Amino acid sequence: MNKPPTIVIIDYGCGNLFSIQRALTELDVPSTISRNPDEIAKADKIILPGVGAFGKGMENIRRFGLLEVLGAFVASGRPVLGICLGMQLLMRASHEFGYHEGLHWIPGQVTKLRPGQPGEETVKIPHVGWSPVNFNSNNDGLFHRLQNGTYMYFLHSYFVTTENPMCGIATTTYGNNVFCSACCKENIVGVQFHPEISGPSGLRLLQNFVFLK
Amino acid sequence: MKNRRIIARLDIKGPNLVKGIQFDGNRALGLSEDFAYLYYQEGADEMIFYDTVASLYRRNNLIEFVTAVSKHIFVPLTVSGGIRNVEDVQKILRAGADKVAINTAAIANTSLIKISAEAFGSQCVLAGIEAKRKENGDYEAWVDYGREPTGVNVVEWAQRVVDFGAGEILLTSIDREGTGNGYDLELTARVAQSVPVPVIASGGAGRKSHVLDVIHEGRADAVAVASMFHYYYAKPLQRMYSSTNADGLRLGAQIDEGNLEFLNARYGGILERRFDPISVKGLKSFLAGSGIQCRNM
Repeated sequence: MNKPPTIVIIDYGCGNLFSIQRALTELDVPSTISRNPDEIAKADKIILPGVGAFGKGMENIRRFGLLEVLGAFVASGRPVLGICLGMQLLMRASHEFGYHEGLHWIPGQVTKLRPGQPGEETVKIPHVGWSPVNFNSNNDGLFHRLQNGTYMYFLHSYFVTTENPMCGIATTTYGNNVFCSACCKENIVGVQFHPEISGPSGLRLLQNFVFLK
Repeated sequence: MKNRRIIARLDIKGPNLVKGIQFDGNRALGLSEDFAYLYYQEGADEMIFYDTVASLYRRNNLIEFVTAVSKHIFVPLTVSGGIRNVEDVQKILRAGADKVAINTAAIANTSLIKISAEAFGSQCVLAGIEAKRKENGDYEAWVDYGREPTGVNVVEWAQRVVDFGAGEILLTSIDREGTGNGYDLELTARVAQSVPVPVIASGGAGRKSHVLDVIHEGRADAVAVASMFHYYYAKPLQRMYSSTNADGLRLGAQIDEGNLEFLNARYGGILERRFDPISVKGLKSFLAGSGIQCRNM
């Protein structure tokens, strides 16, 4: 049995940190919730959670002095998982309540879901509920032992579009929106849904992240 | 494409899952924890835990319960009942709930939804609205687990709470609650069409067709189901009704003794009278066959 990796869940004041930690505990994976740069620097993997507004999220990351340590962590090649807002922050910029610069780790933009034109199928925004995640590519690591089209729990009004289509590794349909529900670039992965409250499928995805090299 | 959520609603008193009719005459069916774990395994998309006496006694008893079950249940959990201030909201979210539904306190203190949504995000703040039809056909909001009228018009209130930042509305019909006569379709449609946020229809499901009706005619974005599920999963234990020592959902050690007569008489005859018990999977496969998409596991 290998020693489980040290996972730090980044506490930048914008996330349901405890549900992620409970899910990891269920998987017997120890984790720490922290905004301490030294702890983050020493982690094997980090999870960037997030609920709420993009601008506030970036503001908090700067305010807690985390930009530098997070940047160094990513540059070191160790795995990073962004969840929901945490995935959106990986992008270059967002158009939520004005224009906000993101972390610039994956080239891409964040824009708002469309409820639909008159005459089309209309949907409520935010998108709340379970939707199938369709894998674009067979990403062995993150989707290992998950069925294509598996349902995950979403709760969001904005979505990511990556500049390089290869970075989008899964799509989900909501009304007339077909959006990127998972992205990947080298050691960085992001998911728009919440694996920590997506039942057994969500737990499996988190387990896959734990095993990522 | 839009997928509907099937939510198991557990009304809780002390350690027990209870079910009443029109918010009154509650009977204990078994230990809430047992039902919660079972519903998770069976594929309930979310769960609503409703503290039935919290408003009355000005406290919430579900902190310990949520702390325990959230360790092993990984679908969104909503707690309702007895949430009076932002500290209560924080305590419940910290304990492991993903969302809170605020009712009683919201009418008394309209800023609570706003403050909570600003502090924790709209996504975790539901407005719980309990509605009763008036003679003129309008609907009035009631509080304290259906005990007190407020004079507030339900549709107007629904629009207001969304302005305050509520991310979803949990809409319960007091007239239909626990009757098995079907959801109040008109109530649900009126509210669902007046607000931009998802509406969870609650109260009245007695047959699987009721769920279909409230999605089609009531425009519900999600449905809460209680009795139909509770009686399905409690059902296999009927054969052992003479024994209070058997392990099982409805015969936990702490069950109210006053319930034995009720349980022994086949849930007071409710099973035959009003409800077609159904499993979570059974309901979902019926809906899928009727063109309604739901999560499958």
